[in-house]
Amino acid sequence: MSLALEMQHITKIYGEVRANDDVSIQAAAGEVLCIIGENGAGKSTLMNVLYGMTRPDGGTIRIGGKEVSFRSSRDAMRHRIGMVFQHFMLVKELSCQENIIIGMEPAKHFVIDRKAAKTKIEALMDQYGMRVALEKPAGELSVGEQQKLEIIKVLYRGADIIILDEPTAVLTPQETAELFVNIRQLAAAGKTVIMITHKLDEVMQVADRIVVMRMGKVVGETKPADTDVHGLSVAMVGAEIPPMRERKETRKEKALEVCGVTCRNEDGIAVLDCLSMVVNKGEILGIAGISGNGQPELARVVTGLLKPQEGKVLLMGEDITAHDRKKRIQDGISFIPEDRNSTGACLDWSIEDNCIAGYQDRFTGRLDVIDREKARTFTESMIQAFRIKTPDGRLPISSLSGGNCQKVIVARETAFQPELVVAAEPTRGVDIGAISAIHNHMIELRNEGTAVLLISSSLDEIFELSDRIAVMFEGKLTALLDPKQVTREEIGLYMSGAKREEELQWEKS
Amino acid sequence: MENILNTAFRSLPPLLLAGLGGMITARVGLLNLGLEGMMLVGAFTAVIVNYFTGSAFAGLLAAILVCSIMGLVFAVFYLKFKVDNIIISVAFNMFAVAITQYLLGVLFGTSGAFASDRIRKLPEVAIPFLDQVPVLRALNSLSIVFWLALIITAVMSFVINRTTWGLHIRATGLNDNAVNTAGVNATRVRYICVILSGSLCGMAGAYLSTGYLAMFTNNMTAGRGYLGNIASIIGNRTAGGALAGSLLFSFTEGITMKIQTFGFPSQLIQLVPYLAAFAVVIASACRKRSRRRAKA
Amino acid sequence: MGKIVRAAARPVVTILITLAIGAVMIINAGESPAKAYGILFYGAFGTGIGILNTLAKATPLIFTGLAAALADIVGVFNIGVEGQLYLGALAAAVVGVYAGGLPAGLLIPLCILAAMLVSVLWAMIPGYLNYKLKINIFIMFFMMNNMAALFTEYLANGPFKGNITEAATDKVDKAARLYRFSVYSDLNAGFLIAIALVAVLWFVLKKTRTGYEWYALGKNRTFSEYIGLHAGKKALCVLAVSAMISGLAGAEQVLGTMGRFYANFSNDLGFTGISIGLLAANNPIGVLIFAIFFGALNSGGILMAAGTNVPGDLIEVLQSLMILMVSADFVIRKWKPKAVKKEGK
Repeated sequence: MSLALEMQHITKIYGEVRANDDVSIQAAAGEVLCIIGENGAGKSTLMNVLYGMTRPDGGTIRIGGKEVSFRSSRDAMRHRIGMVFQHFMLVKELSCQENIIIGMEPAKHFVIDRKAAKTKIEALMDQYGMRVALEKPAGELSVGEQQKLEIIKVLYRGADIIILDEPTAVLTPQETAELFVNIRQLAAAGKTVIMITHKLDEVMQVADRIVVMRMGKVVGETKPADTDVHGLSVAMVGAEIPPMRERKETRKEKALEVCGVTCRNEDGIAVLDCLSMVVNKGEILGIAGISGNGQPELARVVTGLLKPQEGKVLLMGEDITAHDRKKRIQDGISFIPEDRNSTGACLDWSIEDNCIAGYQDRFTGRLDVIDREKARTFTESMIQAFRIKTPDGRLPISSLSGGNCQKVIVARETAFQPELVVAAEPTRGVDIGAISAIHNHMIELRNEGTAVLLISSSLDEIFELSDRIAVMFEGKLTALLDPKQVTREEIGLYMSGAKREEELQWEKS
Repeated sequence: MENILNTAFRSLPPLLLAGLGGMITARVGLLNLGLEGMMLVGAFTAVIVNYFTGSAFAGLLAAILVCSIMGLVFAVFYLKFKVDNIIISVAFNMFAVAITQYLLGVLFGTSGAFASDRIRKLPEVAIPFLDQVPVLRALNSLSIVFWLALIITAVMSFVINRTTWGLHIRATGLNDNAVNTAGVNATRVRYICVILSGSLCGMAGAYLSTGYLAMFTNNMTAGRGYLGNIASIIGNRTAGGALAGSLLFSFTEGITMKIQTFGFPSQLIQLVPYLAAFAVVIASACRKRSRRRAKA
Repeated sequence: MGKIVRAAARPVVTILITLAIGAVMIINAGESPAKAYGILFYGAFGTGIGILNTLAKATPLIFTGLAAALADIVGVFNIGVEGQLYLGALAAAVVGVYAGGLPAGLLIPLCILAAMLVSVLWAMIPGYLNYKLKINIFIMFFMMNNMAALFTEYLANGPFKGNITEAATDKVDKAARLYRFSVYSDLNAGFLIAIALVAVLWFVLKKTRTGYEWYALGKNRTFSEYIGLHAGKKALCVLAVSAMISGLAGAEQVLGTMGRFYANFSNDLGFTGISIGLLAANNPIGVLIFAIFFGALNSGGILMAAGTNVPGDLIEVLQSLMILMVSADFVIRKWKPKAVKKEGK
């Protein structure tokens, strides 16, 4: 087999972070190459470099043996590279056919030749055994079909190297199985498929070759026959699954109760479907699940940012369903939101202003005047307690690194003895030092008797912190598990919806 | 009745052209409230060039050219400098009123209005046999711009729905990320559309000052640019819809002209198109909401 | 000190550039810029009366500038100031005429309250429609500016028409007139109200929790909801306050300057206020400074138009150019290096 693609010594630096550090990969025609690694391992950066969306700080790319340099994704397309993004690049209101041909329309004097387009697409669909209804608006397709549409779009553009970015993150198990059949067909037809993912069982099914990345570097390369899921996870995480943290015994007393909460989105789909759960004082309940199963909505319902259509929310036995966000802050529900840049912090503001956000009432004195002295002292104490690296609390928070910015948010949200902390992806995109600081702090909180609802897409984080693990699937909690007894594989089954418990026993533990 | 129709048809072109201008920028996701100012500058340019060259067509072409350049300036500020489109619109509209007044003073030493025998009107299209037909008589002797505007409407409708450019325009407003990753430069599509809206406003302005009148008066657009925007919104951002929306307004104008002769306060009559616009905007918003409700 | 210099550099450069453009236009009009600008400056600041006139012209602009700035801070961008001002002015005039006979201590507050109330009601129509139905507020503002001008013209020409040939109301009761500092100038007690308002708003914005929350709202809506604000409602409230100030501008014009309501009197006071808000980067003290600057342009501009061949409209051309210049200046702010972007995933 000849090498279709070679990437050599690719380096990409963002600020202090080496997102890609001397990364080299290659792939042959007709090969399925899987790149695995945890969130932040540098997979996406590498693919963005390959697709011309990011310019590397160093390294070379060769396509079919010839060195190339991409200034934009158009250049990459010209070299027959196609990419299917995790968030589909479809115009939902336009028909599938229009989505496929846009930018490469068959036309006579600028008038689109719809028939020619249709013939060409039909031929492609027959060849690769993927079908979508061409006349339908793309937005009306199911997620799986939309993905097919994206792949057809890439094929229509004549791509020989097809990049799939986390293609299964949003798929049902059936759709995933179908996708893998399609991928094999593509490879059989001589296409190079590069799939990036962090789901190990899938890699074992579909890959010809596996490249493992960790912290911006390639740390291993193997074939499915030479390894197993366990081996891959060790390579990926760098060690065994981390042990659960030491923790104190705490009293079991209900802090948060959610009873039969249902939430529908604008399309009428129930994103939360009669969901119930209990979080006890001095407990970390971890919510595991594939993204897109209602986790953000759950966090928003509990914290008062989203009103459920049905159901109740209780805190320490008191019905707080009617309480708005402000009231819930006063009730002692604090929230570390998943998106610190758009929700958790105001980037135009100083660290100090961000430190009092949500708790501004506590710093307000007579005549509605904010007590700056108090705010400053508080900010200084937070900076010290969390070792936030900054010379001055009056600097804009945007001057901080991602990890330090997140520390500001965690510090603020845990400073005023909350009853319940809802932590959504508390360590996403954060450096290792900050991760361990934040994790330590959450265990401390738990030991002091605070209830913690942890929502994370990182299973490691869930295992490391949780006293109990609940699995979320399609707006419901489908399993309640003991992290000491459950395996990753078993959780995977629940996460994919392949397995579910009939009734969750919230009281037992 | 024929009177009303005739007035309606005569007031249609500026509304329709502005409506198309608003439609084409709305299609790429930009609310261009600067149409008003561009149209005013167009009206002024047409009169001036007309006055100095003695050619109505030269005036028309100059108006289109100048307004296209204004469109380009708008696009540069909006797309390159990322200035808020409302701010640009406010500045444009203020600038248009002030600069036309100022130049009127500098060039002719007058203020308020400018008319002259040397200003030619744009030609009218006479259709001989139409004079015999009762109601359709209203279509006779309409300005050439009226028919041009209708042709442009049809052409734009075809271009948007059937051609590659049209597909790019439609997609750009809906999801420019998708467009960019498909290898189409969404920013360039936007530039073209904003410039085009300027050209259309230039034509609309030239019609206002040299279509049936042969004069320029201060602020003579009198909100037609905004009405054009609203017409495009009512028309659900399609060329045909913009036509329907601007017909609604031009008929209101035709009817109010009629009532005015009975001594009804003119300001109240002038309010009617705005109220109609409000009614339509509110109704369509309510419809959208109830549709969302029905889904949920 | 360095902070003040940096904050002032932007508008000062803007002003210099536009004055340079203005100089070119003056040369084109066949005059010497030095002469024209000289007359302009003399007219604005050269005499005691000139200064009073400058401040008198500045007074309504302080109000409209504050109204625009305040709304812009919470991210509403109130381009409806012009229309709100008309409604407020008419309301003040109507109360001033028809409630005549009341003592000044009662009548003046009554007029002002009426002006504020009517302005707020007028602004709440688009505000509420936007809040409830998500209709584009700018289109409504723009339409309602024209509607306000037409509607008040109708009222001043019909039901409330005074004993005068123009479309205008009668003169308001003497007791409703605001105190004037000099018979030779329009400057009146409204200026003191404006100054007080600048002080109050500066305090609220810079020192209080209310100001803190308003800024949060304008900077980032998601964030403001996250910290416990009802973003939509709060923005509506601030729009109401902004409209109140617009109404005050109208009331000042009627009770202080004109003595009655004239149809279409405003001549872009609202839009000029918006540009002042932009130039001042929404800072109340900046608004004060720029309002006085614009007031000087206006009062001096009259003398310039009279003493040279340059039409007074030049002033408005320069003002609109300043808006574009300032927005171009936004660019420079955008070019500043942002925080280092971290990999998202």
